[in-house]
Amino acid sequence: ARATLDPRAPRLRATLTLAPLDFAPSELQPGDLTPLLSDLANVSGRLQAGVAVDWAAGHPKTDGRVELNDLQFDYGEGVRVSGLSGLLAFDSLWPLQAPPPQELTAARVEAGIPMTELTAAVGVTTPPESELPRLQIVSASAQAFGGRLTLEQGLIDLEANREEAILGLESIDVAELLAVLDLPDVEATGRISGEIPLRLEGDTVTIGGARLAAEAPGTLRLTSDAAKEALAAGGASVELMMQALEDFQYETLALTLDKPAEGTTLLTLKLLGQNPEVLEGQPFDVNVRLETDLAPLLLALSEALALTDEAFGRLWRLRR
Amino acid sequence: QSAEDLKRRGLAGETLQGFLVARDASASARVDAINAERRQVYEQRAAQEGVDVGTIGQIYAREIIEASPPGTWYQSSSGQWVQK
Amino acid sequence: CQPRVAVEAPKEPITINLNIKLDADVRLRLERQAEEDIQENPDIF
Repeated sequence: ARATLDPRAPRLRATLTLAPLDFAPSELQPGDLTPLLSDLANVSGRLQAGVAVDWAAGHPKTDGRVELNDLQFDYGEGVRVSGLSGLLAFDSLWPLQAPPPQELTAARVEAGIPMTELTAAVGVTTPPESELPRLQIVSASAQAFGGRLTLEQGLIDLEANREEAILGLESIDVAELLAVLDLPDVEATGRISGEIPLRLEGDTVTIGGARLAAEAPGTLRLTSDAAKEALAAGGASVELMMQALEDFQYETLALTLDKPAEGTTLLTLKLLGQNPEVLEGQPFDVNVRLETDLAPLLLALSEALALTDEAFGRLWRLRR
Repeated sequence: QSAEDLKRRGLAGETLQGFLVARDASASARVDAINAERRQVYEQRAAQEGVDVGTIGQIYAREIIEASPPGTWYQSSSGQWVQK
Repeated sequence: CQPRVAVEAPKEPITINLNIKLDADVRLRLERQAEEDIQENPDIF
């Protein structure tokens, strides 16, 4: 530590540089330093921090630097992060402010979905009337499902218990995605792109107009007897369509999803294509519009988002 | 005390998300404990039905308010407190 | 033999518009489940 007192002007400048902390399983763990980080397990890698305090005219100005070097850790049951590096420069510690963009990278993150080559530009701000900081994810991207996942306008607001982001999909391999979602009776190939504006407030998930479309022709196999029974009353053409969908070669596929906080969720699916076995490849132009005022497919989604909220909630919970 | 006691004595009210809110500081600890138990029920039902927890809470909220004693305070969709 | 040239007219796609309303039974089941849970746990509801 180094402190200088300037006799002429009542001002004290002190800089404190922490010796680098090398974490290793069964040796130093962050949980030993602060209970706030006790949820991180099997931590390895180096962290270096430095704080500078500058008293001028009575009010202290504090800033700090935290350098992460190839950190690896597990969090909760499902999350494993490795190769996390980056520099966080805080221009104020109380309240916590680290203006974006602060660049972070990670080699791999397992959170139900395997993601690699992650980069993110983040920022930490603590709005005046609030005690808990807000994490902004200006932009982030990762390789996943044979394509790329991106994230824009990400915000984790602990005070308001609200998270939102625009999730982008770039040529995602549908077969790999379905493997993780493991939807019964649905198989597909092809690549889809698009975006999903997401928001999680408390337990309520909202999707503000997701748009996804296949980039090129592919195949779709829908073999759900339940669907067939449910649509049995639809008449001959519907029955033909269901037969075609058992091994459908689609030219175009487009999906939209809108789920307000309350009320009706609307899913639309547009398919153009044919099944060589059905009427010698008779083309079908299918437009499905599905309304439900429940959100069946969003349980996994809200859990994933809740995980991040809880994760950051614990990491940043300042004692009241 | 039970949730019903708190509601009967106006110490706590219901929200449309299916959780209690303390209306008097003395009840807040008990309200937190009750909400924790409710959350467990909601998460269990959500998992069973493959529905998001928020929706489960909203469905339970209507049934809870219906089953609550007369005079129970609850939050209307516009956020104001209304007495049953 | 006479080569048979079958020129098939490009098949017009069969257009199918499906409007599905899904949930009535799930919601009902959940509402009944809620009533049951409320009666069985008077302490917390």
